[in-house]
Amino acid sequence: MRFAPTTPLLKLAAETKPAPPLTPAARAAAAAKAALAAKTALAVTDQFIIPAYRTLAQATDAQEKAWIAFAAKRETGDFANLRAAYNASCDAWAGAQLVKTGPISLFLRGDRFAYWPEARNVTQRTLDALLAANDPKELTPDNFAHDAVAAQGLTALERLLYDGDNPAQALKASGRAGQWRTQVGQGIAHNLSVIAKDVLAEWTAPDGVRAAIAANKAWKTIFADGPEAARLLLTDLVAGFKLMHDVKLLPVLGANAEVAKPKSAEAWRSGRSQRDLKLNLTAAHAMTKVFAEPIPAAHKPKIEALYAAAEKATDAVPADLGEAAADPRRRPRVDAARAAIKAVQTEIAKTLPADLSITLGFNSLDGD
Amino acid sequence: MAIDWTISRRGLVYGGIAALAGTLGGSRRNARANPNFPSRTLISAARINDTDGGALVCEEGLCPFALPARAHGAIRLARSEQVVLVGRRPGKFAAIIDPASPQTAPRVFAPLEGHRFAGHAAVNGETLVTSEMDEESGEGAVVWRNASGMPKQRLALGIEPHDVLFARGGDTLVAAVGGIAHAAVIKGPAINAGKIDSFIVELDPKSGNVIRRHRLPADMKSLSLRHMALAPDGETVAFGMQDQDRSEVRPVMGLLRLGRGIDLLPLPEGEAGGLRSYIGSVAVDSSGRYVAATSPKGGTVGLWSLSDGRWLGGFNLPDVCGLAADDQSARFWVTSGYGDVARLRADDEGFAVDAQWRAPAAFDNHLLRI
Repeated sequence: MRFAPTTPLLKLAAETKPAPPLTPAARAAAAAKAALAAKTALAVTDQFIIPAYRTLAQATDAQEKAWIAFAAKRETGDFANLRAAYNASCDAWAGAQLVKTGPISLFLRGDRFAYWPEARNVTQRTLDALLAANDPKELTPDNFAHDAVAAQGLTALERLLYDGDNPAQALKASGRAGQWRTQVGQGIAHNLSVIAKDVLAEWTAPDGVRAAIAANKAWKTIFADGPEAARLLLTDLVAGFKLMHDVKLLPVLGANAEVAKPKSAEAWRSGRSQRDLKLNLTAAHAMTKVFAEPIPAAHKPKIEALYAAAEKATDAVPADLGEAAADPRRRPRVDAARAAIKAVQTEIAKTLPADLSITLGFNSLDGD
Repeated sequence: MAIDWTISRRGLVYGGIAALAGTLGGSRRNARANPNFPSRTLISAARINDTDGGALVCEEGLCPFALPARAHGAIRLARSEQVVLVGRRPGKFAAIIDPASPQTAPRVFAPLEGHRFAGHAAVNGETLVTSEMDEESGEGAVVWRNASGMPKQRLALGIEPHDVLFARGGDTLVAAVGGIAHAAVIKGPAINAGKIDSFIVELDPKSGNVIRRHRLPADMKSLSLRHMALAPDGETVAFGMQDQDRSEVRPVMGLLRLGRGIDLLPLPEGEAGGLRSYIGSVAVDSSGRYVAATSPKGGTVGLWSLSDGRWLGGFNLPDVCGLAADDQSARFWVTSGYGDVARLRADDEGFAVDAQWRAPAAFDNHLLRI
């Protein structure tokens, strides 16, 4: 077999010859880079992650209380209050959704909190099975932790609050049917509140994620030290753009208006598709600002300008994002937001890793 | 160790290769220096200049080539020097590459109608077997094809079959079924997260009949069995897993003795979580003494003894994933997403580096020595 190599490989280490020891200057430079990465991870934790999870824990706690109040006086209960509490929880989730590192990654908590995008209407099928089961044992957090992920989070709650001809009446209906349906909603709200509280506690506990980052130590098997935590969190930020662009927009847009898929939009039932996207972008911007603190001042204006453009473009997207993608007249606004979001992604993926000396993996990003 | 490579920003496209090659210095001299080189050549899917393709790699250098999209695993066809690279994500193509002229546009074939490739294939004589998924239902399948990729037969096989190989001289087809139910069209969370249905199955390649199915214990339902390597004895299969739930540390490597059962291999001594619950590639050295596996998330290559299953040691290389046994015993090749190429020497104490290079390429998950 013969082929002509077109690009030489650069030889780094030769047989039997150990790599030369680092010079003191090189060692100091490497240590400074690691220290900067660790410090940045801690700043992101304190200024972005923990506040986002605190908001999430408060919103889901309030949501659980709303369901408890509703269940106590079901026939005359305040349905609008349930929807308001759901929307506040969704807002908080959109603000924390792009963080994948840490306790949210354990016990499938992320998928269980909001199962989306959903395949083949699996949430409906699982929720139907849960409604048909009519068994309170199904609703304990412990059971939820080991059960199908699709019928226990915001995605399932949205079905209870927005699906069908009269979702309020379905919950208020007298007799066992309405009572059990309300119990399911309350059980899901409780489950969400438990997950959010546990995640917040595991970030802030004395042996939690924040303490590990601050001490430059390992947390479970998720990271070995502060610099690795920084790499994972920066990866989360870049992956957040993939979520917005590749998952929330591209499949909805399709190649053209005729093949657009309005019902692939996130939370279309509750009319939240555009709002969720906007809040994801706002969260990414807040996280980026913390990451960007130590980078050269000259690199910041472009990032800020691209964020401003993307936020303006996302604001201009109609609330019914999915329907708009299928409407030739309104579609350009969705596509403009997509392009503007992509432009931010390209810029931060180029600038932040280099400026912070944090390398994002290629193979390690995949689940394969 | 970051090396800046100044290379052309030109994308790799068919017909654009010659121009690209011309912009890279030193190539002609290298090619002339040893016209019969390489004796050992590697092939891998790779991302080069932000473009999906592949690359042949030898000690003298790298020869990139273009592909229609991202590829994953590679396998050599039995009666030629050609290599099949199988697409994954989206998995709508497989390409037959001629390593003698890699920059000639490859012969490309498609998955079955309405299917996607899962990124792996197995070869026995004139038979090529690919793992595929129904795009709508998510149902898995293995597909028998001829050496040109023409489909002949389809066998439904669980959820998400991934790696496939022929064992016992071609008498047994072994498939690792990942078991994570995703609708292939939607890039969402697993439908059956926490309850995945993963197994390795031995099949009769003539009839497609299941000879034996190997599952993990009931308390290990979060593990997905994905990648395999056959030992020289033809009937010991080393396999690597990925854990979907990292709330505790579970084994991620095992040995399957065909016709018998599964033995799990220990986690790294001293740093049980060092493999980050994730194995990307598996290989057995040419003597059958050593099992190696890569964890890109942990930036680690692990080494075990095949005979007694002992953990022998690890080697750290960020984003390492590609792994192949050399023809020399106790030698492995590894590649990384940062362009590292290294030849590692195994002994009972772990690894030593024979030699290490850096190339301007992000090597994808799998590496094949041809």
